[in-house]
Amino acid sequence: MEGPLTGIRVIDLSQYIAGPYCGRMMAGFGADVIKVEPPDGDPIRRWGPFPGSVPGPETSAFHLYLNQGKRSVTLDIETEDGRALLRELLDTADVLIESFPPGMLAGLGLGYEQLAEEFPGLLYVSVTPFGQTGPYAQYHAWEITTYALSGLMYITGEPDREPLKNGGYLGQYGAGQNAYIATLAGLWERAVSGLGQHVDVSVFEHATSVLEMTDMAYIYAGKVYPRSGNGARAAWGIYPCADGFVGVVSGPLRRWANIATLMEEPVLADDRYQQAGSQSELRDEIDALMLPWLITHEKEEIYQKAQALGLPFGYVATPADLFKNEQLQYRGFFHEIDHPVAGPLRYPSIAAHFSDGLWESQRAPLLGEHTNEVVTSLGHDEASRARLSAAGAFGAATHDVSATSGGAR
Amino acid sequence: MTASGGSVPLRPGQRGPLTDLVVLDCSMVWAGPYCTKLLGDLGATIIKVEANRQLDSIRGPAIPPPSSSAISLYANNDPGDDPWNRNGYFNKYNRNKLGVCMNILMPEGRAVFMELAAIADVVVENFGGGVFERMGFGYDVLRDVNEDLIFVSMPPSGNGGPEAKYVGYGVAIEQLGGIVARTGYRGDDTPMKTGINYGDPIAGMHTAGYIMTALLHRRKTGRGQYIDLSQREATINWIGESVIGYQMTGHDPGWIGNRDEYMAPSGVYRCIGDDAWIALAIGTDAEWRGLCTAIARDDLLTDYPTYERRALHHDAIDAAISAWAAQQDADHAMTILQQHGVAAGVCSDNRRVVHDPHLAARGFWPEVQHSSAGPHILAGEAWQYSRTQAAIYAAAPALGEHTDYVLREILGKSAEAIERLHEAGVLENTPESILQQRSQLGTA
Repeated sequence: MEGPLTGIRVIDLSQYIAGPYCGRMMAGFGADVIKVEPPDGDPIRRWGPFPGSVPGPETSAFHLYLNQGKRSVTLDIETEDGRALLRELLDTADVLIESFPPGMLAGLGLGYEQLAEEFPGLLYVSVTPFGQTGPYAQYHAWEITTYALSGLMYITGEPDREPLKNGGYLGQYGAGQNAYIATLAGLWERAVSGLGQHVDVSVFEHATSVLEMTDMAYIYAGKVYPRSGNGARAAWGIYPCADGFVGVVSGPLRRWANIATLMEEPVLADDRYQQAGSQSELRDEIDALMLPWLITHEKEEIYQKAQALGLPFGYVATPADLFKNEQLQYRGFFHEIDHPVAGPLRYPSIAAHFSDGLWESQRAPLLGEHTNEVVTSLGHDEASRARLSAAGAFGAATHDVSATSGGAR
Repeated sequence: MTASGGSVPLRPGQRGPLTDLVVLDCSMVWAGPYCTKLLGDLGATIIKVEANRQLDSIRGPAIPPPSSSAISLYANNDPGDDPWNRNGYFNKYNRNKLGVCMNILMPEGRAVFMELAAIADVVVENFGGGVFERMGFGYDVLRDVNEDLIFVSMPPSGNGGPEAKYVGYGVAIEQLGGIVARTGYRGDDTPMKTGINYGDPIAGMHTAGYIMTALLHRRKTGRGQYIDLSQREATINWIGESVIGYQMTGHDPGWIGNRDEYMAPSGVYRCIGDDAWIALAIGTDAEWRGLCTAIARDDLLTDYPTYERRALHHDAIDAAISAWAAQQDADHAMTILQQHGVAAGVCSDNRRVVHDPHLAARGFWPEVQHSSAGPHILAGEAWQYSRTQAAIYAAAPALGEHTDYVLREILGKSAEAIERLHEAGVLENTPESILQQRSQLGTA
């Protein structure tokens, strides 16, 4: 399928989550994304979850999701031949995505300044915890590190307990989402100027940028913003139900009486409770009136019935719940894709319908699956590939890149 | 092709890779304005349209209740005479935007709006439930005046389907999108909401990227686009691995507090001071050696040399780190641990993050001058460009601050034509509730 990014070639040197997520989006919209992996693979291949919890480089759920639609080439860029091949690839590329510690690629002669003269049109996108400059540039970080520094963690959890990290890797995904926007904006401008540039994306700065308004509470009013758990607001937040948890949202106020209707509890419609609104004093009383109905009904049913009454309820959806929801099914959100090792699985697709289609879901590549094909396309015949392989350009690993079918290891 | 933003005058300081784009922003609250904030911070001209009958609700009430909440978001803690212009929430997300206040349901207002739609590259709305369409501004209508328009609608769960008319606040979207089911204290029965309404910025970021995608498509094909976003689906995209993993393992990952599936130890540890904490995670054996050295506990290295051992004895390791951290200033602890290659970070409150030395060195908090709130800083963005550096150059608009400017400089209207619109009441920029209050006082 011809996509909006068809004709754009991306060399994706990035690892783990943030950079690869950006590359995944580019691939889904049609770019030719060549994932250049070290000989033993992107380390994310060693993170799970795995089928039956048995690790394997081709079956990491993270890898399968984040590297969808890419081609995989293994190169040892620590070797001179590996670097030479990377430069040959860059000569054909529009975008480079990388996530190494600042200065590491420059140490290999592959820093932005070193490449800019040779490849003036190259958009060089770095996605790192702290960006390329500043006092923390060389600091080491995992998700919890940047999450804590951003201020997001301090405001999550209960005031009398420790700050709480959000589950998953939202900081990483968010940085990748920003990298995608920034990369496409760079491509938009490049189409006019013909010039590439260095785009420096920081996980820390992304996480700080989504503080909602707590930063403004300090900037405008000098106030330290505390964490407040699940909130003390009456009829607003996470409540138990028969099969898990629902989100009760008692706004807008004019619909308060509908909560009484929903929960078959006329007493709840009392003016006193409606006026309670965002005050917490009546919370326990209101909870006691709601809970009997909530804990005898299931989350989807509560959600559907509440929404039918114009109440913006939600529910705490587990992955299993997502597959059962009719709206997601109606939209065709999950795409089933087969994979030679992991088998058929349902993948999240893209979060929008475009009138022209535009998105295509494809599977992730096997490690080194396309090394032979890509290196051949650069003009290396069998003898040349054998020489590069013997020189360790593809790593000391045993797989034979001169073989025609990739992936067999 | 329609006239695109190249013909729109740039404002002082406006720069970045998207200065040739014009976005007509009819969105409110957080998700939509987050999207247009990203595009405006990249240099696009954003024309935000509001009405005095329905202000963007994050401006807060035009007449705030006398006993304000514990934490004020008003500039200098003072709502002033125009609280709707002084709310930090609104003023954070609407910087770099032109503010037009206009009643687009009046025929003259509608006509001006259609003129703006005709020169825009992108229109963004987040009314939801088909409201914007029923107001007479559906994609089909706007496409009649702008054939290659990119039109974005961003309801909670998408347009069409059984939930098309459902209403959603960010607090529910983050639940429906699967984030909350993974967040909570380890061992607790109940999950925990995130510290923000996470569904909104996630939807905003997705949408900005999709708009760029559609723009590149338009450049290749000449075709516009209708983009129908689902905020719920955007959120699910950020837990993609859990969704796939569930199919592999058959179990719900649930929540594990500050621990980590792939690293041990991982947690926050209390330091000297009031509610001061250091966060760290150990992802490699080398980091573990660094940690043991930094806290002078080489015995731990011997006892728990592998990830498996560390995961098994996490509680004992936590106790050792806690004992060390309790004697440390959090910032000092971060410095020491980082010197030993440990991924440690202070658990910043909003005060510390505003004063963070790294962010300061990177120019993350630029200062703007607001017409009512005065000078103040704002959080920047996640990106920096080496050649087409973007800028936060203008504070958020006071209600209707740029109405005349946009009509004159962008639509080329004469002073007389603008005056007629004012006289017809189309451009009234005092909130309706204030006008009502005044008229009640006047007639009392």
